[in-house]
Amino acid sequence: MMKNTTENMLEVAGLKRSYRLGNNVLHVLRGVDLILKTGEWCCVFGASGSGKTTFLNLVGALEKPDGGTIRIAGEDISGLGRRTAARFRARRIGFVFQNYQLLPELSILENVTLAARFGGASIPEAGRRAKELLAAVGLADRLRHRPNELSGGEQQRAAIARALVNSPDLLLADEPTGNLDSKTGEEVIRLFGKLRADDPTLTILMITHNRDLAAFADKTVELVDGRLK
Amino acid sequence: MLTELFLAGRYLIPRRSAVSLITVTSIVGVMLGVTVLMVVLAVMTGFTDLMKSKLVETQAHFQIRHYRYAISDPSQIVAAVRNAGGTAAPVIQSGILVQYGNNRLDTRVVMFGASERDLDRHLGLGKKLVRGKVDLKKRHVVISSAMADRWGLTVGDKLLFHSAQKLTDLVEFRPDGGVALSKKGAAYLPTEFTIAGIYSMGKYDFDSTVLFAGADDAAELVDLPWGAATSVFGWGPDAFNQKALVERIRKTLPPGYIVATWEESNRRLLGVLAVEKRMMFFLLIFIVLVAAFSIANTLITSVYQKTREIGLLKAIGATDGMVTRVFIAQGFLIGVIGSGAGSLLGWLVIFFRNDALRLVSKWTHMELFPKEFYYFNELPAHIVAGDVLFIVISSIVLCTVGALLPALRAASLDPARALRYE
Ligand SMILES: Nc1ncnc2c1ncn2[C@@H]1O[C@H](COP(=O)(O)OP(=O)(O)OP(=O)(O)O)[C@@H](O)[C@H]1O
Ligand SMILES: [Mg+2]
Repeated sequence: MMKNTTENMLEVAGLKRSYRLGNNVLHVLRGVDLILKTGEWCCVFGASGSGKTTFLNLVGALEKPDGGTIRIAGEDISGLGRRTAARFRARRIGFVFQNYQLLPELSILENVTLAARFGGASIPEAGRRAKELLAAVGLADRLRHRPNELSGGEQQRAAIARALVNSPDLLLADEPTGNLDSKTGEEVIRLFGKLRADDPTLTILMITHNRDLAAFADKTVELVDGRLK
Repeated sequence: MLTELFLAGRYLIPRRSAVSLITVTSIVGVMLGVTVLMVVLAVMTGFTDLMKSKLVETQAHFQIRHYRYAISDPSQIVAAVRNAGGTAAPVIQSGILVQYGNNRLDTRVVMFGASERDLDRHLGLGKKLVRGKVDLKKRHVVISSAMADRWGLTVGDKLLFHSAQKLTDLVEFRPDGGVALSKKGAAYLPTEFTIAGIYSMGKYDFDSTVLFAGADDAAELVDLPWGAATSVFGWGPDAFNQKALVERIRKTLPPGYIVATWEESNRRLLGVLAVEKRMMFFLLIFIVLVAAFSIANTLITSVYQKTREIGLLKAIGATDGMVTRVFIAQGFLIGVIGSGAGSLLGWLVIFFRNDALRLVSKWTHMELFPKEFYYFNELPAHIVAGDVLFIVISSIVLCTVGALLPALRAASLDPARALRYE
C-alpha cells in the first residue's frame, strides 16, 4: 500500500462531541484542535473523564463527531457511513487498548491474522504478515498460544502486532501501559519506539497517565475542559 | 465468508477446550428432531408401501367397465388390454345375499365370478388356499376363512345364494300404483352352492367380503346373458408405474368405457395416508423449531457475553455484514451438524429397528404386532431420499433463521459503546 507523503497525517479542527444523558447534555469535547505530522508521536494527558478515549474513538472513526473536522492523510473522515468507516478502520487505523482486547477463543496468530483478513489480505498473505509482525514483537515462539496463556506484557505486544498488521497510517493507543507494571510498561513503550524506527512514517497518538512516558514522545498535549492544551 | 465461518466455528468449538457444552446441547436438540422426523416418516412410508402392495395383491391394477351397461362382449376389451401390453380377465362382480343354515342371512358378501384359470393366474388363488380346492365347477364356490369362521361352515357344506336382481323381479308395480307378485317371480328359488375351497388373502376387508364363483354361475345369478361380464380386470407389468399403459388402453377402448386404476379406486385411503404423512411432518418439525428457538436463545446470551469482543471486531474493521454472518453461520453450522448427525442416527435406528423391537418384546414378554391385527411381523420402513433431503433442508433453514435475531442484534451494536461495555 502506498503511504501518504503529505506533511500532516492528522488534522483535527474544532472537534465537538457531547453526550445526552436524560435531560442533561454532557459536553465532553468543546472544540479540539490538533495537528500531527507524518511520523510524529504524540502523548495525550488528561484527568479521568476528561474525554481522552472519546477523542481517540472519534479520530479512529469509531464514533461520529457533533461538529468539526478530522482529516487523516488529507481525507475527511467525520462523515463516513458505517460500512466505509469499518473499511477505513481496517486499512488505515491500528488500535491498542489498555486491556489488550484480544479474542480469547483465538490463538495469538489467529488474532493477528484475522485483522489482516479484515484489511483485505488473502489467507496466505495474512498468515505470513501476522507471523512476521509477531516475530517483530518477540512472540515468534508463542504463535499457537491463546491470550490467557500469555502475560499482560506479551498480550499487549500481540495486540500491537495486530494493530500494525495492515501498515496503518495512524496508531491509536489508549493507555497501553495502564495494566502493566512499570518495567513491562517501559518495554512496551520501547517496542513502540523500535517499530517507529523501523517505519518512520508511523504516526502515534497515545493516551497515558504516566508523565514519565512524555520523554519518548515528540509532542505532548493535555485535554482540559474539552480542549487540548 | 471463510473468515466468518472460521470465527463462527471458533465460537462454537473453542480451541483446546472440550467441545462447548452449549454447542453440544444445541446440536443434540436438532439431531433428535431430525432423527424422530426421519424415523417416523420412514415407518409411515414403509407402512403405506405395505398397504399399497396388499391392495395391488388382491385387486386388479385397473378395472374397465361401461358407464351404464354390463359388457356383453368382454373378449373385445380383453383383446384391447392385451394389445396395449397388459393382461385382463372378464369378471362378474355383484353383491349377493348368502343364506347359511336356516334363516341366517349375510348381506355383506360380494361375489367375484370368473374362470378358475384367471383367478389363479391373476389373484394367485391357488397359493392362497387354506383348505379344499379351487374347483369352480357348477354350483361350487371358494369362500374365505373369515367367512368359514363367521358361518361355522367348512369344505363340502352348502350355502343358498339369493340374487338381489331376482328378488326385485319377484314383485312389480301395478298400473294403479299398488304392488303385486309378478309372474316371473313365482318361479324364483335361491340357488344352492357347495363350498369347494377356503382361501385367505391376509387382508381383512377383502377376506371378510369376497367369495369366488364360476363365471357361468355368476352370470346366471345376476341375470346376465352367457359370456357377459360386469367389468374387465386388468394387470400390467408394474402396478406402480402404469400411467402410459392405462393411457394406451383408454385410447383404444370404444366410447362409454371407463378405466379406473387401483390408485383411483383407493383414492380415499391413499389420500388419508398421504395427508397423515404430511401432518406428521408438520407436527414433528416442531421439535426442530423448538431446537431453533434454543439456538436463538443461546446466541442472544452469547451476543451479550461477547459485546466487547464484537466491539473489538468492529474496531479492527469488521463490517456490520461480517458480524451478522459470523452469528448466522453459527446457527447454520449447528443446523448442518445437527441434521447430519440426526439423519445418520435416524438411519441407524431404522436399520436396527426390528432387532430393537425384538429385544423390547423379549424383555416385556409382549407381542408387538399381534397377528390378528397386523399382517406383518416386522415394522415396515422405507427411507425416501427426497423426504430426508426435505427434513435436512428445513432443519438447516430453521436453525439459520433462529440465528438471525441475535446476528442482527450483534451487527447493530455501536462499536465505541460495545468496547466500553463491562
Ligand atoms: N456513550 C456514552 N454515553 C454517555 N456518556 C459517555 C459515553 N461515552 C463517554 N461518556 C462520558 O464522557 C466522558 C468522557 O469519557 P472518556 O471515556 O472519553 O474519558 P477518559 O478521559 O478516557 O477517561 P479515563 O481516563 O477514565 O479513561 C465521561 O464522563 C463519560 O462518562
Ligand atoms: Mg479512557
